[in-house]
This record gives sequence, C-alpha cells and structure tokens, in this order.
Amino acid sequence: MAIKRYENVDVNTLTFGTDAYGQYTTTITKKFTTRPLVSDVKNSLAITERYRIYQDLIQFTMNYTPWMKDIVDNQNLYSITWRSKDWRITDVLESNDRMSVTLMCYRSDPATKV
Amino acid sequence: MSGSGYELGTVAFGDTRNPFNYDKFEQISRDLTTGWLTLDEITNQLNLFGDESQDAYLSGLELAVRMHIEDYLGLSIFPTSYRVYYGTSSLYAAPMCLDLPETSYVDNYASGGVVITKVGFWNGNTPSTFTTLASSNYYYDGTGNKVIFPSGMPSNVNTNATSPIIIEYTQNANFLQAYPVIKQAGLLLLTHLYNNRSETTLSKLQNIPYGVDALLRPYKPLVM
Repeated sequence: MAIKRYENVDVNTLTFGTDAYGQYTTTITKKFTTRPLVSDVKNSLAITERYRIYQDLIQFTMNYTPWMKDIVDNQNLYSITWRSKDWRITDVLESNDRMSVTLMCYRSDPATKV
Repeated sequence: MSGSGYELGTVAFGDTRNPFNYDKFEQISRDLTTGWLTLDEITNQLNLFGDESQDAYLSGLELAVRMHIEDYLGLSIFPTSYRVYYGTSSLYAAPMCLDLPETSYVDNYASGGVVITKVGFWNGNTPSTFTTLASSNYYYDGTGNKVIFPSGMPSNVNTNATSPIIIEYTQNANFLQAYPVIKQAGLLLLTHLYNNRSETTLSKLQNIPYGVDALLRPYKPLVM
C-alpha cells in the first residue's frame, strides 16, 4: 500500500517573458503555502548514452478552494515547490463532489551527465 | 406562607426560594460577528495553511460552530443577553427572589459572570405601562443565581398580565472559552462541517473516539 502523508508545499505562479536576448524566461513567484496529502511518489531514472535523466511523478491531494479552482483551470500558470524542487502540473483530477483536487505533478531534472 | 411545616402546594423551606420561578426567557442580543477560533487555527486544522481564498466561508462556519458550542454547554463565549419573564402568583414573599435561567459557570464572585441590565414591571394602570426599577431596589446573588428584592414585590404590579415582571441580563464571556479542550472540540466540529456539506450521505458516518461530545461532556453543567 502506498504511503500517504501531509507535507507542506508552496504553490507558485508562473510568469512567462522574453529577455533582452530573446530567450524565453519563467518567473516563479510564491502564492501561498498549503499542506496537501502527498502520495504515489514515483522516481524514475533513464540512462541514455550520455545522460542520466531523472523523471519523477507525484500526486498532491488538496482541499477544493477558490484558489484551487483557478489552478484547475490554468494548470500551466502554476508550479509547486515540494522538498525544494520545482514541480509542474501535468494532470488534475477533481473529485466528483468537488471537495478535493488531486494534482499529478512532474519534475525532470536538468540532464545530469553520466 | 408559614415556614413551620409542610402545607399543601408548598415546598418545605421554600418561602423565598421557589426554584426556577420564571415563566419564560428569550435571547435578546448575541454577538454574531466576533471570531472565536482564529483563521490561523482553522486553516492549520484544515491543512489549508496559507490558502486564504476561503476565509469568508470559514469565518461563517466558525460562527456556526461557536454558536453550537455555546448552546450545547450553556456558556457564553461572547456576551449574550436574555430577557426573563416572571408571573406574580408565587412571588408575594419578602424578600422576593427571581431565578435566572443561565447555567454558566460562576467565574467571578462579585458578578457571577452576569450583569443585570434592566429590572422592571408592567404596572396596574390602564393602559399598563412598563416601569423600570432603580438598581437600589434589588441586587444579584451570584451564589444562587438569582435577583433578590429585599422589600418584596414592588407595588402596583399588574396582576392581570401573565408575566408582568421582567429582568434583562447579559451573560459575560466565560473563561472556559479559552480552554484548549473546548477550542479543540470546536475545531473538530468545524472540520466535520467543512468536509460534510450535505445533510445526506450514501454511507453511514462513524464517530471517532474522543470526539466533540467526549471533549465537551466534562464542561456541560447539569441542568435540572
């Protein structure tokens, strides 16, 4: 059985822009701290010829609030900081009674050389 | 009435203490705005922490929880005012004693947690008008939870009215409201109401051990 526990996370807003050199930039700004039920942590490591690639997947289950509703509607504009790492939302599962929301979040480490 | 023995229709030694001799009472004022459980306590309990987007909803829920605990325990978390009505049929002794229905704990020897705000009666004139008594005519007995009129019944009380004598009092905030166990009971009840927003469920809910009732039971006064 998977381990579930409550852990503090920061929910961040993302702002996208372009810098003076024409590179895309992403600004991460903390919006609030909350305490979701963290479950189903999956860590995966793919080793290619030149790189190790860590790709982790995790589920955060939170109470349904107006701010969570906005996250459900604009998943691309939010990220979550959990254990000092930045997680992006890939899927959202709303419970049928709209009492909770489960965010499936994904994190890819920058490629680490083998 | 003589105090020498038992007479039909009287209570022994009850000349001046006819228990609970009020006809009826009603709430006339209640604090419906001040928060008891803080939003920090509530959002920590609900694991919302910094999510402030539901604060208005949570404040409303907190008010309902606070009112329920006040009603359940008969204690005032914030001041509540009552008006009590008394008939004249059994009150002709001197001194005359009028019981108050409040059951809150006595947390202050001087006031008993109660402030008498108005005492008066409907007079025998036609039409009857309300006469307010000066505070020199009565005093509050915190040990017996009653108002004593040393000179007995005021003159010219309307004898035709059902309950012509009226006392208004304010029950002050009780020190129990700061007890962590009472607040924890409030947080448990709030969590229940937050998680269950419908009157019906498909399955039967189970109470947890040491829930709201168990936490509050030691503080519930015996009401006779």
